[in-house]
Amino acid sequence: MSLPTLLKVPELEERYRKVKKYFFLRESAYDVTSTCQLRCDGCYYFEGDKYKVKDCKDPEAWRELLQRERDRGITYVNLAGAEPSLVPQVLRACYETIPLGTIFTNGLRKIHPDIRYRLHLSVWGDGTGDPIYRRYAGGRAGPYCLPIQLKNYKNDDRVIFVYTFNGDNVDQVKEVLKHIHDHGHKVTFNVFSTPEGNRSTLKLSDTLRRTQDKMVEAMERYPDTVVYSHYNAEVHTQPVSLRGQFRCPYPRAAMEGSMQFGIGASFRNYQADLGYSAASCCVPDTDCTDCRHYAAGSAIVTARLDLHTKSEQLFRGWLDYVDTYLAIWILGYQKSENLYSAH
Amino acid sequence: LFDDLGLDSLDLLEFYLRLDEEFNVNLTEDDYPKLTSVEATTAYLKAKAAHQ
Repeated sequence: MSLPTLLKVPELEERYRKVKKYFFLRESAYDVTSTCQLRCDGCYYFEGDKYKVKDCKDPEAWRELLQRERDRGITYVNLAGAEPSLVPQVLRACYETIPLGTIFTNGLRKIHPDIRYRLHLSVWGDGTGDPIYRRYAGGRAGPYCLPIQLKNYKNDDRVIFVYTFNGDNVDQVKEVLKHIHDHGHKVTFNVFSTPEGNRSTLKLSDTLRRTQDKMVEAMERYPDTVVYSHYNAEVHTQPVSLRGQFRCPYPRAAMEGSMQFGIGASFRNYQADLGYSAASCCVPDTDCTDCRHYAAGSAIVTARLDLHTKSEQLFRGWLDYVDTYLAIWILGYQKSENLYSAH
Repeated sequence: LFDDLGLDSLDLLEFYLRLDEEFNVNLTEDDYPKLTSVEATTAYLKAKAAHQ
């Protein structure tokens, strides 16, 4: 089918117009500190050498970097880490320079309410799993993060929780969802993606299908709490990785000849010393053949409109995916009803 | 094309799709990096036409 034909269906045309307005966004990522209270199993940050840099702690240096980034066309920042909440002055300098973005945090320390970025609070399991998957830096069992997060961010509209499914915690989502729902927050899903060379027992393999079922069950049980779509659930739980399904536009993959357009032209992943690698992606050191990461998908799947105009059903899936992506990343964006129904 | 016409990334994908339909050139994602400007796109289409 052709795009003009698909857009003759009123509900598809309306949704397409709704999401299209946001494609002016150009993102990059910034690891603002190499410090974190936790060491999560398979954490993308502490794989490789990224954490060995000498941190730039000067907010003015960060402000100048983001001014240069703004000048080269970046309109959206992803502030990651290790743990960004540990450098509040850097966050403020970034926010005052480029006011659209997301902070990825473990939620153990509150980020000042004036910083109106979207906040992604990571959840890895219930009270039995979370402290084991995410230990303190010294090695002892970590805290159960969720109760602390809920206390720190009560009634905070910047927050969306991100539950990372791994090979061990599929059934733990039930308790987590209930708490998040009861506190009036939203949640979306991530899928554990193994770093290169990592032999984590959390890797999903035979649990992919069950994970998809849990995602769908969660959407049906808590439709106003879970920000996700059937199409998201399908593409993130396939035996083949996101890159295998759609190829990948991030510079790290594009340099290998995968797909040299789109985000590959402008995306950079800055390290805590303000340097960056040309081979950037949003989850560097992740094994591309196991990448099902939600942040990666936000660029990979949305970039492939061309693969999703082959049928009305696929186009519906793509529209849901983009609508979900915007609701996760843009503060104040309201997700609409899903258009795609599962097979 | 971003700079020539001020297109955003979705405009660009629409452009590729419509180019493919209009000129029936069987455009694939491997061709996208070749279409970096209006001039480059014109040259690409001419080269395709010469081979048909």
